[in-house]
Amino acid sequence: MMKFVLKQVKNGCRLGQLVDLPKEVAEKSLETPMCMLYTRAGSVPYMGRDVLDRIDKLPGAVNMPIPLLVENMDAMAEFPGGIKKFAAMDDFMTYCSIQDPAVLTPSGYNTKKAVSVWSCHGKYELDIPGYIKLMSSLDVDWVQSLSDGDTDRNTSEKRVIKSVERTINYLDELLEEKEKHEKLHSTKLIGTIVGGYLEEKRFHSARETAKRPVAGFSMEGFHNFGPESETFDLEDVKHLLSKTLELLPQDKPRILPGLMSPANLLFAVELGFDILDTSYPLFYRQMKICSALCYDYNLPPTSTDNILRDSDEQSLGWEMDLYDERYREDTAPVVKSCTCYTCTHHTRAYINHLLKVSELLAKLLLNVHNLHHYLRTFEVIRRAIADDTFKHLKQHIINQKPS
Amino acid sequence: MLSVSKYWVNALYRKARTSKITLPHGEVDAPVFMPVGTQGTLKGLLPEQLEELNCQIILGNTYHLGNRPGPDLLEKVGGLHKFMGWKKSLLTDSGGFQMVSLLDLAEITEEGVKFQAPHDKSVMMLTPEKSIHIQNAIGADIMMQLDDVVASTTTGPRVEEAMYRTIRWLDRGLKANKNATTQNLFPIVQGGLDPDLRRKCAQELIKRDVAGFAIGGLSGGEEKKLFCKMVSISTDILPRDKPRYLMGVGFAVDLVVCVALGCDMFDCVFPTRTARFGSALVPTGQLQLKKDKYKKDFRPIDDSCSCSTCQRYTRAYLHTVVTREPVACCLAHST
Repeated sequence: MMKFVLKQVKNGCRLGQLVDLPKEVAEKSLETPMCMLYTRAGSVPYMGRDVLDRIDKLPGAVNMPIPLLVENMDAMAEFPGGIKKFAAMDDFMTYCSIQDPAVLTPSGYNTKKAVSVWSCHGKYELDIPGYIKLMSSLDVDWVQSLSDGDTDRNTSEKRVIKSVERTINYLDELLEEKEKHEKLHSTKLIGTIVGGYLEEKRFHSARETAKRPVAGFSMEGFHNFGPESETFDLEDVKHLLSKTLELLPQDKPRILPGLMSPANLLFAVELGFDILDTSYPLFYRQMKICSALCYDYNLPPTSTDNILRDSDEQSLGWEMDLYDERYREDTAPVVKSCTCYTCTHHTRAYINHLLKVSELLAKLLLNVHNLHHYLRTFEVIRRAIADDTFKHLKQHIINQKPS
Repeated sequence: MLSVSKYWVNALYRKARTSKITLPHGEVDAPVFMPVGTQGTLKGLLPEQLEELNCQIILGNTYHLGNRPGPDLLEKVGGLHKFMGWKKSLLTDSGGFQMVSLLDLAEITEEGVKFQAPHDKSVMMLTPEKSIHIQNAIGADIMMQLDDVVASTTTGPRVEEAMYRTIRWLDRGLKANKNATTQNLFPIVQGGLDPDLRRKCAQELIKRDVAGFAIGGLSGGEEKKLFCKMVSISTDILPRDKPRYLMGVGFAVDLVVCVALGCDMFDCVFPTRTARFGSALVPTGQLQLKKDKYKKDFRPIDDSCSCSTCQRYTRAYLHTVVTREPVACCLAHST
């Protein structure tokens, strides 16, 4: 049975690993801080397996958000092997989050009895029996407990209290109900910590959830995902988050879902989060993708000696808009030092052309690069934590933030 | 002069043949179906995936590529092969067909095709020389001459005029070809549905020193019997040791018939376009994957297919993503 092992804590950053996984999963990267692959209906946007497999050092974990699966519940129930096999992703450890981190969840549809999720065809209300049934058809490693994280900075105290109560109640009911189904013994629940921006409510949520036999925690209730998570600044709630996280047991993983900009992901790691997801590189700007991530994650030997980037790239900030006319004749790869499929096979000029003529391949190539870039960032972060250079790395990346 | 590509006929069944066409970017096993990569890409597939599908030649559209990225840029980066990262062979059309089919305002004179550019409404002229100029910048292994295309249902003196003009335009094109040693220019047999005109045209074209021929102006909704007759008349005259490209024919049944009539090369946007609309091609026809009956169909698209999609995914899974999730087109399986 899969476990999370915390190996080291350094200045708040946690180094850990998911262990005891089947061989085909264990061949991938399972070290934390990690980012799970974000998928839609079980596939990484624009990438079938044969394209995905061209990306090296894939993480061993994948998030398959429930709103994008719920429609096909009956087919899945009859398909032997669960959603992993159905989506040709059976060599990954799989987590299903209750909402889609990349898309705005409509507000105001949760009740005491049920949580609403939205597929392309409309609303599905998931109550306890329905969710138990869904969980057994999914047959995945982790499922997020039903939760009501429909709160933000402007939510009233009364509504926040309700969200905390409901979320704990859903969890208790699911834990009890789950015990009755033998098929669900291998599926673990992830508890959700909510409580809006109110310290006491959030602490209460954390304390209560920590008492329950959950496999880990997902920190939510600050926004309704999608673009709201892209503009959400973790620094604003740094103290609230760090105090909340103190209330959680050290030996269970902490998940922070949403579109995490490079700055946010560094703050998240520093606060002690273990698992994020790749919705940002795959889905940011709501898929109006014409930008490529190009921030430099290689720590320069000394702070003044920035040898890896030429002056052109330095002025670009975190990303470059490849639609821009200045790349029309630019035969350089997107990022010169990058080893991804896109950068080793194609040029800025070609992607610029594909974007201008609205060809599908543009998004595929950009997603391949962006995913690679984001995954490498996590690799570098883990190394920097181990080498005690995390603070420098963080500063180095944040310094590149476009003004 | 022309580098005549090596070409030999391995087997003959009536007029049908299998062959190997040797081109600057590698060998092509014919009969061959050439997928259409209109704008320098094939709908969501990496060039590497195309190679893995054993695709040896793809088709680019001169009209589109001439607009964007344009001949200047293509010349600067060393041609379309380099620009798109495609190592195998390429064929380009003349650009004329798009003008006649896409644009209302096309006027054909002896000089060339005059048309109004859709993006800025300016009046432009595509001449046989200009077509070759763009195709030289693209750098395809096989280029098509600019031809005077009339709808296959047209009758009367216009058909004859177009046929003779096509021959004159061929000679202008041959003269304009700057890369005669690396790029083969194919003439196009025209003549509508008139057997005599077809014969005359083919007989005139074979006098030129070219490496292969195309048969054009067909499959525009004409009667099947006449269509086959025109193909057969053309292949009767065209030399047996040179490849024949039947333009614009890609439906499965037509392919088989025309292979039997002695054609070697085919194109059509059919497979990739159907994939985009959620259909998969199988030996018995098409599967409309978004139909509800595939919801619980846990078979691959085609049991006998070895493509990466059929190896990994079921019809039921494709049903869930088809026309909805951005992965769907990329899972298109090719025949």
